[in-house]
Amino acid sequence: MRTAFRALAGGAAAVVTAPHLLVMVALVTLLTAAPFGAFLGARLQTALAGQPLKPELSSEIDPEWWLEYRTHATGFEATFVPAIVGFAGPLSNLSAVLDGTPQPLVLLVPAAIAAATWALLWGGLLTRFAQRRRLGAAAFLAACRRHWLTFVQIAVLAAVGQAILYLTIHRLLFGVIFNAYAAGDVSEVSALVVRVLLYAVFGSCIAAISLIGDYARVLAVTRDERRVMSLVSDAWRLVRTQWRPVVIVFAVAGLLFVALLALYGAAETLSGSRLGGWRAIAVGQGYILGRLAIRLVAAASEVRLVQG
Amino acid sequence: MYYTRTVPLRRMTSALVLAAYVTGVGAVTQAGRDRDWPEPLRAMATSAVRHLEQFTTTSEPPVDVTISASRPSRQIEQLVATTRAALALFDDWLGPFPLPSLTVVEVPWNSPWIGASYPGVVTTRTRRLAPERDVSAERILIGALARQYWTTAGRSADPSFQEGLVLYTGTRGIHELLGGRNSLTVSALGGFVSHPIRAIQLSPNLSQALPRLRHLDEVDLPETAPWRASTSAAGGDAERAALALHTLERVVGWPALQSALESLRRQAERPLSTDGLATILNEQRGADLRWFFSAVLAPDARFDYAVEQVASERVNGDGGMYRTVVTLGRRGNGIFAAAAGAGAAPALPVTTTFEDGTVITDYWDGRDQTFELRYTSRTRAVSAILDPSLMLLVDVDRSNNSYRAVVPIETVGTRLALHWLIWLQDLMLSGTALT
Repeated sequence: MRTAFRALAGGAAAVVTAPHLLVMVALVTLLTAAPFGAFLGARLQTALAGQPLKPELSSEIDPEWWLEYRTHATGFEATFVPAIVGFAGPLSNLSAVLDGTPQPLVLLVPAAIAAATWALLWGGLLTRFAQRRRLGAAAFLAACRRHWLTFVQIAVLAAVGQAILYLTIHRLLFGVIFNAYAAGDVSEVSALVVRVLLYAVFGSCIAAISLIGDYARVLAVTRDERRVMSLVSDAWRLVRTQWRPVVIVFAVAGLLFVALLALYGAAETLSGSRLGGWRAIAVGQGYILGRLAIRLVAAASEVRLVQG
Repeated sequence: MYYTRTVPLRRMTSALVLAAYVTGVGAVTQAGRDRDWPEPLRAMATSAVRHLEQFTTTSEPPVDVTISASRPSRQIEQLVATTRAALALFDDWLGPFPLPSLTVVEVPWNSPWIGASYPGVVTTRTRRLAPERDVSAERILIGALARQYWTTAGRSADPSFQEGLVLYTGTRGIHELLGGRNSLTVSALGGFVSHPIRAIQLSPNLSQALPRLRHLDEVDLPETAPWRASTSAAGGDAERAALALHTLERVVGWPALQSALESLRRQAERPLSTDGLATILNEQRGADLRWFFSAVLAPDARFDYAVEQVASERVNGDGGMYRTVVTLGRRGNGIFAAAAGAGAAPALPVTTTFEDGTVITDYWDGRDQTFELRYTSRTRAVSAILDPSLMLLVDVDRSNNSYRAVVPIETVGTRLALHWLIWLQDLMLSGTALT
């Protein structure tokens, strides 16, 4: 346990002492999503311009217009649903992961771009965390390029593994077991407890694959190795043999994420209309920044764990 | 365990009801009418372990109401208030409640009877983790109460039109009763967690001329249910009938439509059908609206009017004037126009705005496949809008009903795009976290 908390402390220190890394990943995240946002924004403005009647308040959302818009929306525009507003966005994303909700195929495009981008970023970030010293831009980019192809392959393997889990374990747990249980004369509370337990079981499965991917990347950087299957098997061995500190680091990162989510939800729920408008957008972007910070701390902690 | 509020004894005219009051079961039976209820509902309503709330309305005649719930809670108190308000509203719109008593049953979270409505009994469902601003249970209740007013005992009826009346009345009742606090609710984590989005009000300021949201899941779903007169599936006859009523409201106005609906309900000798309603509107307004129903409810009718093109060209040698041609099109096979001799029909207004601020409104009867409006003006046209008051809700694509030379940047559009951008970033982070 001390190993794990020492790794966490080191990881947090590595991120706090290098705030430019957080700024950089935040900018990259925003810039990879921005073209899609610009496209949708232009389409929305055109659609709104066609509204002959508008709400009295310029900031008010007309739900009837939105329903009409969704009726004819295709592609990315079809993903513009009310559940993207404010805290409902992260909540619905989390629900989609846990409930295995199918997503529109068009979202594979930004997902693939994000995967490729992070495969590039991890090379530089993990090298920075491993060397524990500032890297110049040239060295950072060189590290990114050196490991990019390996990390893309790891991401593809992990994606295939996750897909298999959703098609098998998830369907069994929620499509068969939970549905059979919930169809009976059971109270809502007991059904919720059972569902949470099933979330924990499935969450452990997808977390295992995610962790193997994480440690495969860390090993690739610390050993400067590129053989993907060797990295994956070594990562699996590491997770299996060092499972206590691995799980603790993961659990702390997970708890931080849950706390961040709860804070966001509480802020929106309790502040009501005071969190409307531009402030809601600022808070939402702040939530993204928080997620990125947790991700960097977790990664830096994993590097410390392997090096320790 | 029972909790029963005191009900004035003078209201208890039936010995059966009196006995029920004494034993605490409540007024859940009314002269044997509960025999029409499905067995599971009757069992739930009369179960010995239910929490009961009872009151009598102040309407004339009064109605004895019993709320049968699994346990006392803030949500049940709200349902009591909503039931009172809904009965008062529907009585005002449609005339007295048809029965001397009503039972509202709170059904379990996974019950197939959510939103059920049989003579004298309606159901709703509350969720344990629902926050105070989640009014889903009230929406379900109001939708079910609306059905009570359109029973057809001993009366001929068109099932689709009857269901359309319920959908229309229920939706309208929800907007009227929950205006200002009817937040859209997002369900997550298997439906166990709900999050009302305060920024999206399903029933915004009702004094605005905007059309109201016509589809609410709590009214429309489940599409097929034993208590429905007809399926409420999208594109089905009942949904078309409801849409026709929403459009009719914008054509003749709510006071005229409300008066006609009340008369239709009271006049049991008239069929509960479009002919019955059209006849009443004819009598009340002196204008035959049968063309409206035959046009709008024709099985294969598809209404799609559009602004096809707006062209403003400077006319050479004409002192710098512009010639503007606004081309309108009828893309669908539906014609929103009265038949010959059927009386005055509301023509489709077209509003053209010019650069110098001039606004011209012309009218099109909507019959021809294309129609052109020609103007000569000092400035070019900047916009053309067909049906600016959004009367024609049956138009399947209202996005092609307008033209603007310049697309203005709307604040709400920018904010919504930024919300979507944050959601997408979160989605991308979640995806990369798994890999």
